[in-house]
Amino acid sequence: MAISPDVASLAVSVVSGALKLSKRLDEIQAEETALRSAISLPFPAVALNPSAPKMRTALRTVLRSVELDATARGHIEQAVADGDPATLTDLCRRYGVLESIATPLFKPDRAFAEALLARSSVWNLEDAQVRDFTFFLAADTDLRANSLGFRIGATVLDVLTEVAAQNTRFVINHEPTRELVESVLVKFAEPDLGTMTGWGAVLRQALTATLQVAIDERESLAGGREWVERLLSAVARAGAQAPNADDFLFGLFQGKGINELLRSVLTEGADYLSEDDAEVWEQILADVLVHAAEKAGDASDFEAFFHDNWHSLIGAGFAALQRHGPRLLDEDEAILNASLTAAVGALADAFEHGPPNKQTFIAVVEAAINVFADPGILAEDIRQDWLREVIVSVAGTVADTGLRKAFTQPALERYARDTLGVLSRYPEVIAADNTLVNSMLSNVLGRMAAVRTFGVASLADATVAGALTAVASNKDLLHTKFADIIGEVAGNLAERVAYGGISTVQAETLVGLVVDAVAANEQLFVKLRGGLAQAVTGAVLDAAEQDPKRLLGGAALIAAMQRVLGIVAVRGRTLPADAQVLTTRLNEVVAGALDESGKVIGQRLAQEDVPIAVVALVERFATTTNFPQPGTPEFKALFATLLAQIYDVAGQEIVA
Amino acid sequence: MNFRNVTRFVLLAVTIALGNGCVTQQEVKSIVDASNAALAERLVQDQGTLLLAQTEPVTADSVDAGSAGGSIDIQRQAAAQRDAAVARIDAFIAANAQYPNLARTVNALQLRKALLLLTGGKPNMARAAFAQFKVDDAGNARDLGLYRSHEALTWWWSAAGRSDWDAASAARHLTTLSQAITNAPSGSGIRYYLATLRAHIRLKGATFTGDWRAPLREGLVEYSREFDAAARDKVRAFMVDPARLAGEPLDNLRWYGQAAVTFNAYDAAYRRYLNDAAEAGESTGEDAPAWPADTAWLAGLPAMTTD
Repeated sequence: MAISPDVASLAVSVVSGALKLSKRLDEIQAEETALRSAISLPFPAVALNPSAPKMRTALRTVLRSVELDATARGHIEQAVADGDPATLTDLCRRYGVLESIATPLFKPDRAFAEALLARSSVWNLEDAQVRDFTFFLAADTDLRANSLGFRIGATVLDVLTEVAAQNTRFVINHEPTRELVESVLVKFAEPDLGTMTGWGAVLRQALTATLQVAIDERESLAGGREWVERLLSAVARAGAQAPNADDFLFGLFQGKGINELLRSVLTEGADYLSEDDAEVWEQILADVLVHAAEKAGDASDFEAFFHDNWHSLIGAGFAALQRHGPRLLDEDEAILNASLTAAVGALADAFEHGPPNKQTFIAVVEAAINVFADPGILAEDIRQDWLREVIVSVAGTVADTGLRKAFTQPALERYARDTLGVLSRYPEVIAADNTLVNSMLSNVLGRMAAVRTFGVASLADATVAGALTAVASNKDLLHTKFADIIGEVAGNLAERVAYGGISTVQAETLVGLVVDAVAANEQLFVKLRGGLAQAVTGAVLDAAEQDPKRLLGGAALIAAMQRVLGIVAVRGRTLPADAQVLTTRLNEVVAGALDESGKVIGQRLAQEDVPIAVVALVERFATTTNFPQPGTPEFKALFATLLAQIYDVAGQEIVA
Repeated sequence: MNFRNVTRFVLLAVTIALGNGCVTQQEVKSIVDASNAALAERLVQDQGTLLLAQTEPVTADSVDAGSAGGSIDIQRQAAAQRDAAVARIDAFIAANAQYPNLARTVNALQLRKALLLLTGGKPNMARAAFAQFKVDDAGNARDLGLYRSHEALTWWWSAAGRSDWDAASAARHLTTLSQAITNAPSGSGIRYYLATLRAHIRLKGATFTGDWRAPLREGLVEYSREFDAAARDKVRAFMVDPARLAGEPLDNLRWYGQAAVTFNAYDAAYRRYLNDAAEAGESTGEDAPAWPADTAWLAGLPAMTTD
């Protein structure tokens, strides 16, 4: 049970008074020390009496071995027959046998020490704290009526000294700070503050974090305090519902970066958000933290990760609020709540496959909230599962070990953010088919990771952006292999970038051409001939790269590819059905065209017209059933004929 | 941070905030530390082995005997420490007893002084010090419990190591002690301490009877009732699977361990009696201790130490 506002007020008054009246504080602390300190109190060793049977046996020995007069003998014999223990003890002592039959002393503390030593793997007796607990007697229940206020006051003073050594008096007399301190006390102080673990530690952490920020930002405190209070209230509410409340809260306040979160909420909350939204904001944060507490119970790895990074997650939500305003707080939609809760769940899920990278994850969460913040998507029937899948997909893919090795961390983080940024522009597409994201990313990024080169992130962006744009304008592409097809082509282009076959700019342009062609002819490229796009681009690019004179480069390559894709789109159904056969044949045609062009370049063929010659041969290949084998006289003759058609006798271009 | 240690920080706080030292609190802290050092059965490092240096009953003879080295030397040092601690408490009380704001502080130190005298083998002076304790100014359950049972404590610290036994006195003090136990908070350290002490008294008393078995059974049943299901589980863990307690709060570790230690003493005494009777040719009808069902949770545990 938390303390009352009255106790909190008393505690702060104690601090205030103590700072004014040093003598009184000294007395309070002296009393604390005297009453709360443990007492080292041992048990005395216990001398046990020998048993009556033992003493009778000893006295029988006396009767046998000692010369006794008749009276003494009779006395002993009587005692052995029916004497009480006191009589037997007296006789044993009188005849000097008591010590020899004495029972060993029972030494409780020594026996306990020996037991602890035997268990030294668990408790180390050389540890002063262990010794204190094992041989001391704690103070137990405090019987003083108002002691709690004094004890909490001592903690406040302690924290104040640590965080504001030069300004303690000012801070506690500064009304907004004083109110904030009281608020923290009410939320996080419990009567059992005296335990070494538990609420004493929680209160210290909460006070330290809050006061550090309040002191540093005291000029902003008047305006932003409510938001800090809301955040702290949400944390307290979550703690109340956590199975292991004190430990959960301690973890949250111990996490790195809590100060940054408090600071940003304090200094920026009032500027960006209306006080009307505060209640909803608090409820959302509490929901998220409760959800996290439940998840944390399932995986200790996740618990540690969350405790270290929860401020970043909440910070992402706060940053989104700043950008998009109260729309995210709509109670009916509860968009922010769904986003952050899904993010926590996704994070926990991601731990099943190894912890994701923190920066990447946060970048993804921020971008995902932005997706939600888009007015268009708010109109859609967004489900939490969807966001979860997107986050897991992006974070999981980007955090993949292979990707980490292939990309620098900043590049990965930027890539994740950019990708989600692209997604945010097409919310209706993502809402309609969330598998699109996963297949796009797994294809594009997975293939690019294998490439291990710099500069492919922009190709990935171009690919995703292009594909999403296409899907946005052609809903028939949803739930197809469109993303797989584009991903395969993009991956192949990335490989070529890696070994210098083409430039990044060329690759980005080419992937745009392929996206356009495939999207415009989805029946052929997607539904009928899934491998066609890759076969065509691969054949043309291979031939261009293998050409020793490199006639098809730069803009010429782009122009040729655009025309070839157009031809295939129109004539594709008549081309060889087997992708490998088609690739080989088309490669031979383009290579043959380049070979023949090389022989007449600068004489009968202008450099800039090489694409025209190549395209003319490809068109003939696509429309002729008996196309000659490149290199043969028939092929050379065909090339000459087409060349003559390209230029009229006066040298005019006839094919544009 | 524990409130036991909060003083260090508060001292710093006020020193920094006001440029003024906390004389009273520093003195009390120093006295508390000194009295604890004097009271403790200190663990000392002796050729790599941790031993309890002072477990024998303290008597004037043992302190004055001054045998070469060993526990007597340590006892002599402990006696000097106690005297010094008592003197400091007396000085503090003399200087501050007139200040109402320090009434509780003085009272608490008065109790410490009584315990120093009690464990130092000075029962009469201890009794006088206990008499100065004011119940209305008791600040915690421990101090109140110790005060309420101080007559029994004073008697026991004299009687525990003696080879004779005054059954009537024992009965009277056991009644007082039981009342103090009943009034102490359930599960508190002071309650466990007093209950364990009572079990020790009953153990010794049993050995001054003709047949130890019944009083041993009664004593163990009474002691066993102080442990609820959760505490019993911890005692079992302490004896059988201590690793299970690793990382748990240490607050009650002493009492879990003492439960095991005390049961072992009871069990050893019972077996000794059966063995002695068998050697004397006296039939008991028992081959092993017949512990009642109430103590099955203890009796089912393995022996922890040998005597």
